[in-house]
Amino acid sequence: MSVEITDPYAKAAFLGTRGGLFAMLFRGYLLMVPTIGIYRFWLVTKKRRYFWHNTPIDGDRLEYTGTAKQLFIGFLIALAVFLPLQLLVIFASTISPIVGAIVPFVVITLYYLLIGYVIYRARRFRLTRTLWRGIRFHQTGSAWNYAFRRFGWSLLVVITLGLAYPFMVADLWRYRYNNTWYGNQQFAFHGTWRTIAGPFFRAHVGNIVFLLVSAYLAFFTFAIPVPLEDRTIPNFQLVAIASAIFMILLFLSWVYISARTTSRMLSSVTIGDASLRVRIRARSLTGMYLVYVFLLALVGLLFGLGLFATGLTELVAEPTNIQASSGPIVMIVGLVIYVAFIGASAMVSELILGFGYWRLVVQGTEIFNARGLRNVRALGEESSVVGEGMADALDIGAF
Amino acid sequence: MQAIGQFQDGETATVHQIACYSDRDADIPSLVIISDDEHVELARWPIEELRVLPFVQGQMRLSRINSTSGARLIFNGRSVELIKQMLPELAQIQKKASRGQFGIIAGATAALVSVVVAYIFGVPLLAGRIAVLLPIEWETNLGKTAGEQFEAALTDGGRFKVCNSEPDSEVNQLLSTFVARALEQEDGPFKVNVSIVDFDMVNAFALPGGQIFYFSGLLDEARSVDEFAGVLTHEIGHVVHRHTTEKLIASAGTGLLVGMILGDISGFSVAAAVGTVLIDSRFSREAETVADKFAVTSLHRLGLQPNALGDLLDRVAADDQVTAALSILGNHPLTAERRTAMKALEFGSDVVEPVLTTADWEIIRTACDS
Repeated sequence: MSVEITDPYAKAAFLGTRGGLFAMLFRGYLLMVPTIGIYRFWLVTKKRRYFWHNTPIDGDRLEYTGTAKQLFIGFLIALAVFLPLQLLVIFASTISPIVGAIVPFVVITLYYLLIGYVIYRARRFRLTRTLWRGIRFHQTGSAWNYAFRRFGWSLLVVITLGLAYPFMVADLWRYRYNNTWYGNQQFAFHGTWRTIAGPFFRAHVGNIVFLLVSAYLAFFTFAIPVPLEDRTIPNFQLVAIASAIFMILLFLSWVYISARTTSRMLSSVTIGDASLRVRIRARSLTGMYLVYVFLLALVGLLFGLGLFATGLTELVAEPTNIQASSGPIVMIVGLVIYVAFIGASAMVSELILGFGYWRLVVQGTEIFNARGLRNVRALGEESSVVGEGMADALDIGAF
Repeated sequence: MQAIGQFQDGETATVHQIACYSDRDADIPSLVIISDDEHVELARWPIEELRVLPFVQGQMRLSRINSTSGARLIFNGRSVELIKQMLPELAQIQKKASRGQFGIIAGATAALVSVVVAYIFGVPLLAGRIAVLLPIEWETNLGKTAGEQFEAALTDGGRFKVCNSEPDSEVNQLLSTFVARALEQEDGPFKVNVSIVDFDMVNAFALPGGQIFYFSGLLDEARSVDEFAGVLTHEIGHVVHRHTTEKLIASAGTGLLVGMILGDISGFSVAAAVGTVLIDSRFSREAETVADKFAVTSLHRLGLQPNALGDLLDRVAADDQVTAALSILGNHPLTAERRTAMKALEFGSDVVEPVLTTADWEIIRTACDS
């Protein structure tokens, strides 16, 4: 009789490389030209396969079963929904200038609500097209429920100046994960507002204190007295410095909260007898964003120089004056440069943020007692393509 | 010949280590799947129902056609070669699948191309039809909104300085008479309003709903009442035929189409602007020809020089590039076609009393001098 000594923690790994992803994306972007953008659905499908299939969990790779055709049909359905909405907005501006000014606000609010709906349905699409060990994931619950929940919580967060945030996060995570299934095994979420209260309030309070202190210093302690008058003006130098520091603080606290939230919330998930343990370091996330900003600035600089060299800078500054310039050749060159710029920025985003984040999460994930999942049975089918199409139309979702 | 691999039955989350071989002697040639440890037959998959799934290098995954279950056969490394030898049909199956995908891409692209082509040629027709159906109140409101944006754009957020703001001034009486005469033969309910604006551009614009802006720059450039009237009737021609509304509808449509191609329905201004210019400039020219005809015929009917418009445009075209580009020439390129078309309009020799005299012209010309 042999004794199996196994690590109770099953690991996940990511075997993809940035080089491999770059080659695929580059070829894909080129193919978007002769297909006037239609190839985009095939590229997204290939990309998802690249990420899913290169992620073995406890030795067995994830499989993505979605097809490009499904994405394309979803897009057409989304068009049928959004085109009338757009026409409605244009129509509204013809009724009167006042209505024309109000309608965009109403539409933006509706869009924000709709985004919640779309996030939930798109998540269902991707879950139901993910197989692990031959068993499909799926998602129960109602997308409208989720949309209104998210909308209501957002309002509360705004009203309480951010204090309701931990409650919002906990509630939404709970709704998403309690409704997630692996075959006939339902997930369970054990997190509460307390799970991220610590990191969140620390950062939040820290930021507010900083704001108050710098405001006090700028408006009182170091205020500049106006000569010959009995008042002072705020020290604008101090305000400028404090604003710059505040931007940095905001970024750092956002990254910190983001890393802690993902780590702690995911670690509150159990799947039957198995449970997740996820650790994402804030410093890794920070490094990733810094590299991204740096590369994006580089791309912007290169294109800016390119435009300047070809004398097209004025064109970009006021595109509505294109008619005043010399001819279609200039416009076509301008269009090519514009498209190339979009492509380069998208590439940077995919390679640094997309690739980076997936790898960070996967490499930081462990499953305790994955053996407990061996007896899960299949349940659930592929969901409809509507949510995914709308997510594409609204540009939601990184993967 | 046997190949070892893994089998996921799609029913339970257990992965079986298996071996498989092809049984071509059975009624239905199948791939037989045998569990490695107990040598029990787990499944039989008909070879013609096999599907190769796109996967990573060095691993082959097979599934069954028309089955949504997660049942999979997985082969790694050397087994992949063995399976390919065992089942030469797989190569054909894979080729057919790629051709299928290529077909869908080609079909979808062709559909999009035909939509774009239909759009480029159909929009002038459609926009014209829709423009005519729009109620006048809508057009007036559209014009008001467009006018405000237009003003703000040209004056950097300010307002125009209108030289003929007083409703009962001499200038306005002359203008009303002129407009009334110009619209004599039209039966549309248009309320044309002419504003002479103190602005240094050699240009005039018509907005939806009948508002016409005539810039003082153009007033200074015109050498006679005929030239002034030529441009004014040209703009009135646009109003009468509702070209501006047509253009707005077309631009909105173009913006949506470009947004659809780039995959962003919320629409981005740069792409929309470029698309607008590229596609719309084509039927702009037709609108210009129609407005030209209206101008020239009106001038003749009102007792003024029909060639005046052409003369003015010729003169403006002789200016430097920038001025010409920003002038009325900028959005109305004076092609040889237009010139010839204008000259070709035949007129009878009946003499008509000119609607505006030289004295009237003096009053109009100095409208902004104060």
